Amino acid sequence: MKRETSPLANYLLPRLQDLIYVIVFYFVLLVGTGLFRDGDPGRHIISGRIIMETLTIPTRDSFLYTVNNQLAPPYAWLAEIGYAAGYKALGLSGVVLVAALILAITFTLIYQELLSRETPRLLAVPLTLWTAALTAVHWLARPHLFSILFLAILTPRLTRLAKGENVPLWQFPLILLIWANTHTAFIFAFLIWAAFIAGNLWESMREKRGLDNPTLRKLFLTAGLSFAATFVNPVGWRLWQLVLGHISSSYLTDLISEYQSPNFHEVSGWLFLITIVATVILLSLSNKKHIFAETILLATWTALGLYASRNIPLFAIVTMPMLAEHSRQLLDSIPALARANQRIETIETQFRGRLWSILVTVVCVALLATGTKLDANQQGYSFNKVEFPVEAVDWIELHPQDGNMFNYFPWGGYLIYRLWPEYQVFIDGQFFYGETLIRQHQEILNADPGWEDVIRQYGIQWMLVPLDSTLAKVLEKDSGWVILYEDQTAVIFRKR
Amino acid sequence: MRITIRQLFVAILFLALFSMAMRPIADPDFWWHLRTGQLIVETHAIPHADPFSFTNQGKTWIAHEWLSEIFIYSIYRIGGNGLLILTFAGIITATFLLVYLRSNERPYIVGFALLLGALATAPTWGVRPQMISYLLFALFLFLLDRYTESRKKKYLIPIPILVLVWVNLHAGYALGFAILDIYIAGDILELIKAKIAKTGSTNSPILKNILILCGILVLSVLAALANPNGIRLLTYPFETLSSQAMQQNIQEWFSPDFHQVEWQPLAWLILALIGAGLLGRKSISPTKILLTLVFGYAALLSMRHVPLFAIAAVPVLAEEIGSVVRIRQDVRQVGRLLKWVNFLLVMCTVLVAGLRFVSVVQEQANTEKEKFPAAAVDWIIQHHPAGNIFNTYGWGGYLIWRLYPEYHVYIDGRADVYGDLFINDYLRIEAGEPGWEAGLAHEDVRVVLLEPASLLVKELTQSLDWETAYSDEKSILFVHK
Repeated sequence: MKRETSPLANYLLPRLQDLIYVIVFYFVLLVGTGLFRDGDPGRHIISGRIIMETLTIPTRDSFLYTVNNQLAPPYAWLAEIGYAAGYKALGLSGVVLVAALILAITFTLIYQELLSRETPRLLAVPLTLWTAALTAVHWLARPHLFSILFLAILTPRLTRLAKGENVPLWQFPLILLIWANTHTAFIFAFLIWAAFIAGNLWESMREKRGLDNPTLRKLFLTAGLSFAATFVNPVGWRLWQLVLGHISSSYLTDLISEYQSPNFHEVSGWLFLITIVATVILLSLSNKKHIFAETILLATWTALGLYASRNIPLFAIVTMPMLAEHSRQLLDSIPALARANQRIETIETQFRGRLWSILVTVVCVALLATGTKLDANQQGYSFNKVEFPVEAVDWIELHPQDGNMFNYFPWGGYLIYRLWPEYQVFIDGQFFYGETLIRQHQEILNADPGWEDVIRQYGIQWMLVPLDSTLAKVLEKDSGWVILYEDQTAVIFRKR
Repeated sequence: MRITIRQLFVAILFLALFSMAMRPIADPDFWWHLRTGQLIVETHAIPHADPFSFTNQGKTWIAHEWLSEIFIYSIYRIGGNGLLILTFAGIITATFLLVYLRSNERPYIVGFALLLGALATAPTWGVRPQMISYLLFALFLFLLDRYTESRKKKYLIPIPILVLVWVNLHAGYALGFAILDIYIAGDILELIKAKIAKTGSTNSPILKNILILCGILVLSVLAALANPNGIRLLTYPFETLSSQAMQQNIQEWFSPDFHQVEWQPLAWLILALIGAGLLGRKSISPTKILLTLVFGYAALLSMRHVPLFAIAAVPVLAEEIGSVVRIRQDVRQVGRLLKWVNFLLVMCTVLVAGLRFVSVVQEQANTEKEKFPAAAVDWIIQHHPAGNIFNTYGWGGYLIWRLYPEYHVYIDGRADVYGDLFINDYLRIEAGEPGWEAGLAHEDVRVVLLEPASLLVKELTQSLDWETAYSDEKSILFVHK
């Protein structure tokens, strides 16, 4: 017998989709301090603030004295405005709020995509949360969160287009236009296009249809238009130059931890591995037809994930819908679960929902605006004192220093956030300035032969470096330098 | 004799593999294996306590590779490094020959999969006891596959005997138990599948088979007790696997770094398995799936396990590719002229293998100089500096070969002898962390031999108590004033 609920209850009771939104949104607020375990959010907040205040998008760097006024493509200016707006309204709580909204919307879209691929709701919920867990390793208040969102928007549309369904073609260049102005990972969109085009070509050849294939034409057309749209940005073609230059530098990709291959001794590696295995097994066992492009996509994204752990979140967004699509057969083979799912689907289809998503968002915004601390430790959102030189910067504010500073590069973004425009940094976590500067940074930090020449080259008068760095140990014994400040995290040296 | 194109292909494939497998001896552990072999041969006793270090001398040492070490030393005595290189290239080739024989696909397809598997494992090849473990691993899989196909017990009888040999050759013998467990688990899955499909009963041949394999497992465990360390060796492999210091500090226990070109064939192997698996949709037995998954996980966890994955996965990949690619069945025999061309081709490959052998043997002396502090050790032999030597972890084995018994080492590749606490202390000293002076003084160290990039070099250079006695591009030697 079909159970009926009252019309009011249909609006008041949350749908599973609302639960996904609320869980992700609130969880991000709980762990929000972790979004600042990297210094880059500091730089992005300040960049966004400059754009909002001056109403211009700066294309030259003003944060590093080492590359002063060099071309610095504003590759994430839209995202920076987003974070800066949050910061202006509520400080770091506003930044966390923006990140929570992006992630909650992303996983709501993922859940909707799973449902549109006929994934049983009983599996769609855990699979969506599993996807969120796979991406959690890279939850930082940085523009790449927007890339996760754009990938979740683009991939389903492209999949439908490749399967011959009707999708408004104007959406594709529009998505890429915004994405290219938000974060550099937009280039991955063209990998997905390439996979669908290659898959479509393969199937056309196998079915001896030749190139007279409307889907293929649409794929080429949208790829071309979207490619053209990426040039509509403050620096035009130089954006591509920046992106390609960055990923082709093996020195940088070997140095930066998030570009390293995943460590399978860690939980994040396990999650990735389980997902690969589950996807392959499900797709192999499933009787449901899958298109060739999906094989290419799975192989490509697995390769990208194995190459760099920062690609694992994108791997999850692209491949999870494929896995989910083939999960119904698994559920149907267990009658008790199939019946439970049937019951859930019957109840769920009656609900109208939305109330809870809106209500939780509004209440959390209101609480944060009134100063309520929503993070798990009830300490408020901040940069971690152990990882960042928080107290050393407090000391600098009280004891201003003249001359050029040398700083540890992961701290650059934080120093810009705290000290700019009074101080410019030696280096920060951005790499648009190429390999030379980061090599020089490493040379000084490790006190490699010739480090003193680099000090002279840049006229460095004082240094802010980690207490346990080789440089700190060397300078401690160097009579040419004196310690001005020291705590558990950082030490400040000044030239005598 | 008439040979087909296929036979020619197989001959060239394995000759090429043999050539690839010949490489100079560069493993840091090789040297202490050699010295241990010599010690056993000369004293007619297997050591149970550490004879080589001054820091842990007398501490219990489970010389689990004693038979391999005798084997390595005996070959060295007979034919020096050259014969060792040839022998281990032969062992590696034999391993892949067994992988080839396990594959039921067409030779070209198996050849492609095999080549991919060989490339993926190539970074781990060398004159090392592990190579013997890989051979036995492949042999176990070969025997169990043959048994699964034919149900003839003659394929199972050698297994406990092989365990008896394996347990005395290398601690990797535990892999034999893991393989048997996987075959039992695979049969249990088959049984469940049959139950679900209602095609089996409790008296089914599958159940009987499970019981037989369990019996072989029990016999194998009993056979494993026949070793100089008795029951202690049964827990030894698990102690190694759970050592945090080893997992975190020894490179071959790290996950593969796919930025390195040498590990990219492993990525191709994984991608080929995924791609061909999805395209071909070949029905693979639960046992083979389990083997691929278990050893695939092991390979991603630690690069030293990559060969296990390749050995297990190559036949699966060949099957998958075989279901996608259709190659004409070509068993044509060749004509008289082609026969001579083929003969010439095989001879050319033999010639290439011979030339490769000559070049590898010539390269050996340079490799020793590039990888180990050969000149610094010459200096020590000439000048006899007094006192204990603090040395880099990776050089301990080389010093044991060159300097024992005149000098003992601080540390060497036998991480199990030293234990996590000692290794962590060593790492702190080697990194020049505060307290390094006391650490060296505690062990009465008067000589320090390091790589120039070591952080301790900076400290010693600045210290007034130490002076540089010798240095070159490879090493720097300090003596206490």
